[in-house]
Amino acid sequence: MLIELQDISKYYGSGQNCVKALDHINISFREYEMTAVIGKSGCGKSTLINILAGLATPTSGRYYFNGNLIDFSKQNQLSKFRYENIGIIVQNFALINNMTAYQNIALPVRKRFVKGKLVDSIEAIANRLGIYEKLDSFPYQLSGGECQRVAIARALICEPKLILADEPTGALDADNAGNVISILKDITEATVIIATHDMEIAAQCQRTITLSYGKIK
Amino acid sequence: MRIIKEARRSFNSTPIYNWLIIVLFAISLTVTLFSLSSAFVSSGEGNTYRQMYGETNYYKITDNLVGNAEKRFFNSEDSVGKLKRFYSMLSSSEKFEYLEIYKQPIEVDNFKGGVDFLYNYESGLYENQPLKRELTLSDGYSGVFSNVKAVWLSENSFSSFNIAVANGRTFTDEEYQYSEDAVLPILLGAKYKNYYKIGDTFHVDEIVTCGEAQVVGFLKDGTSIWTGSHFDNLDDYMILPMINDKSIISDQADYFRQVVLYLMKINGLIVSSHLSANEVQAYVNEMCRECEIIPSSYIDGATNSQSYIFGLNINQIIDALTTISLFLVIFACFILSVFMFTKIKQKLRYYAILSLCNFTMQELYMMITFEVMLFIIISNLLSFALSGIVFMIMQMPFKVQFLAYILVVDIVAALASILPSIHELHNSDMTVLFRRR
Repeated sequence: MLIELQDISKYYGSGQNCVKALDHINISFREYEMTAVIGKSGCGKSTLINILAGLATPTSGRYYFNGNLIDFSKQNQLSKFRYENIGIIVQNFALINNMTAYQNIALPVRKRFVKGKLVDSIEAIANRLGIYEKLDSFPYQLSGGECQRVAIARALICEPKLILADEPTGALDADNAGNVISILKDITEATVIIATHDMEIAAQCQRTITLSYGKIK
Repeated sequence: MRIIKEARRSFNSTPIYNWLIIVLFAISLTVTLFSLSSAFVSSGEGNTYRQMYGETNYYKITDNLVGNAEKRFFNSEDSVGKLKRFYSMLSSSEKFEYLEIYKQPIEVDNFKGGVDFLYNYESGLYENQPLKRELTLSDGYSGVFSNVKAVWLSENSFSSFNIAVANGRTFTDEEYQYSEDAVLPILLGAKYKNYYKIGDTFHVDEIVTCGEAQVVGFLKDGTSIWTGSHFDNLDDYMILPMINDKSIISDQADYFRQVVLYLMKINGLIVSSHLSANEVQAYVNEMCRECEIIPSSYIDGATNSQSYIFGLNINQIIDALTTISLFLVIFACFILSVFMFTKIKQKLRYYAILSLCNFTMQELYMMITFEVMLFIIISNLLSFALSGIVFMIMQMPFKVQFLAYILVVDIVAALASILPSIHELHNSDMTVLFRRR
């Protein structure tokens, strides 16, 4: 197993105002498997993605990645964990507008690459995703589908073990959504978890997990 | 490295506002440095110029009647009367003793001494003004005149500085009274012994009048007087009596003569064993107010003398400068703080995306800190450059301890800018922010 979540809960607020985004869930994710996490808005999909990414701290429970317990109290370790293992894609692409596609893709990169290798890696990924010609363009010069491909390239640049995609097609038309899902399906070198409410996308994944009111159905 | 890169990118994203704030901060630091230096000079003057001679303090008093102030004063009614009253108050003050000492070269006909007696030679002016020149004086006398160093002394100056003659006599009481036709008595410094003898006469043109002068004696070798900032050796000086003239002005020529005479008489030396420069200045200010002399005369070393700037004294100017610099610094810190806070608030999504791209919160905090430090460092450099120019032009001192004050200002500005911004970032939910459009 790549990921094992044991009794994970995430509560927002307290007392009568307490919202249980995730309520004592237990899930495992296998390596190289493509999984869809489906459910209605507010069911806890994004919270689950945030916890898997190490961006949110669970209220309780344990998170094992590759057999190692993730310590959410150490921010620097979490950042290192993300850098070494996680690529994140979100609905609105989360690109920085005053950076070119190339610069956006290179943003997560630390010392792993020497400069020439970084250029080669970015160009290879851009070629693979069909955005090589767009590397010098700014996000506002790109279509939604191209922006999402830049975001996917950024998620892939550090060669992560896990790709987390939170509603990756939510802002795209049907054609572009299809393209993005095809790209995600083609990622064979990493585990992919897609949070979506689109059943068609879920149908293309190897596994589907349904969340409802913070619990697994 | 990527922290610096991103901080620079963030810094460069608002260039116009950045430079406005940098210039504001640099100006506030420059004004702070200027007020510090002014305060330093002011306190230093108080210590430097308050010279001791035995147990006594000697303070040089100088009139402030220059430029427009001079024109306004002499256009006012009874200006000579005001000068006379001011002189009278100075000389009869119970608070201090007043010595009338006035240095001014005089023109001497057929001068027998060497060049070291000449004012033009000593001051280096002889290249523009020859050491000897032909002149026709207002009394019709023509001759070849030299510009000779001279000093007018009142009767009490002799006793105050223990001035005594080696040969001949000092001035008599009558010789201190103005008489139009009298021969001007002159005492000579010790170095003159080789050139003149007692009883020698020569024609002179001096600031008050012109006419025949006669040598009445020679001062002892090494005779010196204190002139407010340094000792003057009188061995190569001609000494004239500071005359008193209580006559009523008879004509225009007489008016000018009396104006000149009383301007000489009010630029003397105040002697006190207990008064500070500021206390003397306060008395002088009061006298000037009573005599309607505006701006009032100033005392060297006093920090409460009236200046040309809005009629304020040095202390008030320094206080005003300090207040302005304090206000500017607080304003600049406030603006920098608000600017950074607003910038961070507007860029929360950007920071959230960076956190998504594996930037830790510490790295984001360091980015903010680095960006603020860029503001402060550039402002400091600009301020030092500005201060360098201002200090050079105004010949003001720059002391290393000023840097400590600037460092305190920098730290306050940095904390005021960094802490609210970091607090805002710390309390923001990054997982929500990077999902925003």
